[in-house]
Amino acid sequence: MTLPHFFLDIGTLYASQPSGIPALVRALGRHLLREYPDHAVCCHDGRVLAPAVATDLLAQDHGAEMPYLDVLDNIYCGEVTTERRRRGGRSAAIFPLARPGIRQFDHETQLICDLTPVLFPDWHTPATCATFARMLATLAANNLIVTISASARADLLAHTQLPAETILISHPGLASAEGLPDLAALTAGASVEPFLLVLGTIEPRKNIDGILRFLAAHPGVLDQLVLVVAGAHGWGPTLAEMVARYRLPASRIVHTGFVSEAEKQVLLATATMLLFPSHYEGFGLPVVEALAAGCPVLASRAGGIPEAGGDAVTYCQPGDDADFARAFFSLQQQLGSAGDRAGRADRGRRHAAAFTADRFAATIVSRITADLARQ
Amino acid sequence: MTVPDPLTITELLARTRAACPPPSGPLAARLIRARRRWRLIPWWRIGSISDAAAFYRAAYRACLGRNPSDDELAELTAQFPATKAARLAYLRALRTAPEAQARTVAPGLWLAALTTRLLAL
Repeated sequence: MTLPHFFLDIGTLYASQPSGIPALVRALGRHLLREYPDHAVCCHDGRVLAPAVATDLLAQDHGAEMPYLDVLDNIYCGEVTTERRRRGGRSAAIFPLARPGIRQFDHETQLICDLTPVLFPDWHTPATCATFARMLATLAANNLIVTISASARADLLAHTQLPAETILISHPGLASAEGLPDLAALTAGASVEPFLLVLGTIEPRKNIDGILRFLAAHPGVLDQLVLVVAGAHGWGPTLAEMVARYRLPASRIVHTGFVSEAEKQVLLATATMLLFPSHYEGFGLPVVEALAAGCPVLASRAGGIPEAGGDAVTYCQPGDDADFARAFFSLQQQLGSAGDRAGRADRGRRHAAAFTADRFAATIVSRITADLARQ
Repeated sequence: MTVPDPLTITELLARTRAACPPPSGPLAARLIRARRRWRLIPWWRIGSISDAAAFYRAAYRACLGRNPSDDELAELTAQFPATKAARLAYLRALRTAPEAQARTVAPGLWLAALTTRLLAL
């Protein structure tokens, strides 16, 4: 099977605070450059990134800290069109965000994580919904649509006319944990104050409001546990506004803002549990990250989350406050036993081990190569 | 034997940042400097940015090399264009303003590339 030249748009890595989609792009880029260095081209907006710059961007987990990176022409080394002709052979492009209007590759792939701007427009800004609608309108121009869960695939089939065989599911996963801090050295033998962790951008879809409602209804929880919200503010009410609305003690709620990969791993390794009662997720990678770190997870049974959590997670019904409270106290009781806690952590780690960044990328690459062989 | 007090989350994160500082290196350092200096906005967010003051500060820094005054900012934000096309048109017009034309481009070639690219969007 002849290997095509892969052109991956890595423009999302220019963001200073990368989250979901950049993590997928990083997984794909690292895999392509490692496995097929002579057949991988990183590009953005029709231009080819200098290999050293692409490698540097892909190596960072912290974000480029330079949102306007693409205005610096000296990071590019040519036009995609020219590069494609120079290389010859078959070419395949992967677009994590909007695709260009004109087809120019033998095979073109679009990544769609979820359909929340269509399913739940109230949880997004009008600009996001408009951009997403334009993206949906051009989906049929692709040879392949990659989505990240069976749930997201079902949504795509329900809301578009795409042929089922053109939609591939590839579950996201975790990269190797090299370079992360040594927790024992960090804490120097001290314990960490017990805390509940919320991981993700602050936006209505994440249902942080529901967590705060629960804490307001059960004030004893905040007496025992601090609430830590790790994520940048996205849109909708700020955390401070929500905390004030429910008259919760601000001294027991910590908003860290955006956290680096190292900070995220340390929080996951020390949290009492991760709360993930999102109204909807394409997949829910934080659930897998928490399980891999041995952190117990309470999540909603929404969208692709059950695919991410399997039977290693305690579930509640999305938007059901009473069920969230039931699940919380049930999990807290289970964690009271050291044996149960260790067994649960082991089960979580085993489950999370099935999801790797390399597997995510390899599934896509393999399908593209097979598609081209059939053409 | 005394048991040490539990670490607070703030202390834990501070230790983590000290142990794992943000990336360094020629590219990262240059990018961080540039971002701080020019307060730039990603082009794909130009249409969706809702903070008019941030938009105008970035536009002024990129095209005129200065921040808008408070009076200018108040006047500009009152007429903040709603669409990406209108905002890009504003940036092009700003670049051709007499103040921008008279400006000496001191920091070097990369700045020239920056403004050229900005206008080509």
